[in-house]
Amino acid sequence: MEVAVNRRWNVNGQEIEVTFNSGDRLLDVLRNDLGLMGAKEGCGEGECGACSVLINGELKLSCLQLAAVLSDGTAILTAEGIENTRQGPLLQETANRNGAVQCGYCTPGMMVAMYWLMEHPKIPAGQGLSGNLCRCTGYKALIDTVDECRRILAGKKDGDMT
Amino acid sequence: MKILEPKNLAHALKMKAENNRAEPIAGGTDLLASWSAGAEKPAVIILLPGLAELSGIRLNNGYIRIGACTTHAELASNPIITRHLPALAAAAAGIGAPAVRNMGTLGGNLVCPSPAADLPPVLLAFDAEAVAGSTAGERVVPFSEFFIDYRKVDLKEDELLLAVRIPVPADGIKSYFRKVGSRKSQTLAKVSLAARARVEQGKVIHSAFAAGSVGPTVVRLKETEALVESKQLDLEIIEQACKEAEKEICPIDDIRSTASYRRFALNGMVREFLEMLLPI
Ligand SMILES: Cc1cc2nc3c(=O)[nH]c(=O)nc-3n(C[C@H](O)[C@H](O)[C@H](O)COP(=O)(O)OP(=O)(O)OC[C@H]3O[C@@H](n4cnc5c(N)ncnc54)[C@H](O)[C@@H]3O)c2cc1C
Ligand code: FES
Ligand code: FES
Repeated sequence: MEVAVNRRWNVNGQEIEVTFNSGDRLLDVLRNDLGLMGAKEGCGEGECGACSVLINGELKLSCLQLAAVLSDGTAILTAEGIENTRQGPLLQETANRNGAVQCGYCTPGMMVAMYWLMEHPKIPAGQGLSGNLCRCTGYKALIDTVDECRRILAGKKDGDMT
Repeated sequence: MKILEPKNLAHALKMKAENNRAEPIAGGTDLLASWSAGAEKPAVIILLPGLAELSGIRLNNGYIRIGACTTHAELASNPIITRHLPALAAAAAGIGAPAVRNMGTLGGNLVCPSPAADLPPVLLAFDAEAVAGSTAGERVVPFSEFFIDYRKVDLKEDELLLAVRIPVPADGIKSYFRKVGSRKSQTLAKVSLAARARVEQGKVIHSAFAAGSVGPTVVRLKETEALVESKQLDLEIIEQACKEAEKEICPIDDIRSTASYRRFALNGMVREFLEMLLPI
C-alpha cells in the first residue's frame, strides 16, 4: 500500500512543496506532479540516460531515484532549468551551433549531463557521456560541444574557429 | 510502501530489529531497476542515505574502513583508496557510467551481489572483512565467509552492513583489476579478475587471485595461488599458472558469455598480471 510523502525541494531554482506516493520515482514526480516533461523514460532501468537530472549538483538518473529518499532542501536541476543557470545559455548556443540536437529524444538528458561535465572539466567528455545513449548524432557533435564550452570557460581561444 | 526514516545508526538498527523484513535502501540502483522489471516492492523500507555513521573512508590501526554508503564515485576518487588500493579505485571507476557511480554504493554492491559485481573480487583478493551491525553490536566477517552462494551472503535478518575494512597493503605490493565486458561503460563483466602479490628476489610471495562471473559467487583461485607461491617467476611458471586458473573455475554459458570464452579471458588476465611482475 502506498503512503503519501510530503517534501519541500528547490527545483530549477524555485522552492516547491510536493506530495507524492512513497513508491514513486523522482521521474514520476517530475513529470506527473510538477509538469516537467524534460526528463524522459527511455529504459526505466538506468541504461540510457534520458532521465538524467542533477541532484545537489551531482548527475543522477531520475528513473532509479526513489523520490522519498530526497529530504527537504534537496536541490534538483532538470533540462528545463538549464537556460536560467549562469552557464546554460553558453551550453545551449554551443550545442545548437554544433548540430548536437537532432531527433531530440536524448537531448534533455544530454543537456543535463553536458552541463554537469562543464562543472567537472577533468572528466573526459566521451567518458562523461557514456551513460547517455544517442542514436542520431554519432556523439561527435556532443563531445565537441562539451570540449568547446570548456575551452570558452577556461578563457582560451578556440583554435578551430580562427 | 511504508517509509522509515532513521535519525541515526542506532535508530536504524532498532528499526531493523523491530521489522526484520524491512528492506534497507542505499543508492536504490539495484532496487529500483528490479521494481521496474516487475519485482514486488517491499512493504517497508528503511532509508540509509544521510546516516553519517555509514559514510566516510578512514585509515585507522592498520585498516582502511569504508562506510557502506560510500558511492562508487567516491571510491574511485578518494585519495586513501587511490593511494593504498588502486585496484579497488579502478574497479569502482569501471562500474556502470557516471550517474550510476554517483548513486550506487559499496554496500549495495555486496549485500545481494550479482556474480558479476565488480567490487567483491577486489575485497576477496585483499583479505577484506565485512562489518555487520545490529542492536547487539558489531560482527566482523571475512569476505571469504561472507559470500556464501548465488546472491546469498552472511548477513542476518536484523543486521545492516555498516562498513568494509581492509588491512592496509604492505609497501611494494602489486595489484590488478580488470573486467572484460562488451564495451567500456554500462557493461557487466563477462569475467573479472582482481589480484595482488609481492615479488622478493624474483619469487612470488603471498599472491591472491579472485575471479568474478565464473561461478555462482566470487571465488579465490587457491590452486593457482599455491602453484606460484615462493616460486621463481618466469615464463614457464606463468604458463602453468594460467592453465591452473582455467582448470579451477566452473563458469557457465549464459546471456553475457560462454564458459570457454570465460576460461580463455581469465587465462589472459592471469598472464597479464604475472607478466607485470617480471623484472623489466
Ligand atoms: C545501469 C546499471 C549499471 C550497473 N553497472 C554495474 C557494473 O558495471 N558493475 C557492478 O558491479 N554493478 C553494476 N550495477 C549494479 C549495482 O546497482 C551497483 O553496483 C550498486 O552498487 C548497488 O548499490 P545501491 O546502493 O544502488 O543498492 P540498493 O539498490 O540501494 O540496494 C541493493 C540491495 O542491497 C541492500 N543494501 C544496500 N545497502 C545495505 C546495507 N548497508 N546494509 C544492508 N543491506 C543493504 C538493499 O536492501 C538491497 O537489497 C549497475 C546497475 C545499473 C542500474
Ligand atoms: S530512463 Fe533512466 S536511464 Fe533510461
Ligand atoms: S538526437 Fe536523437 S537520440 Fe540523440
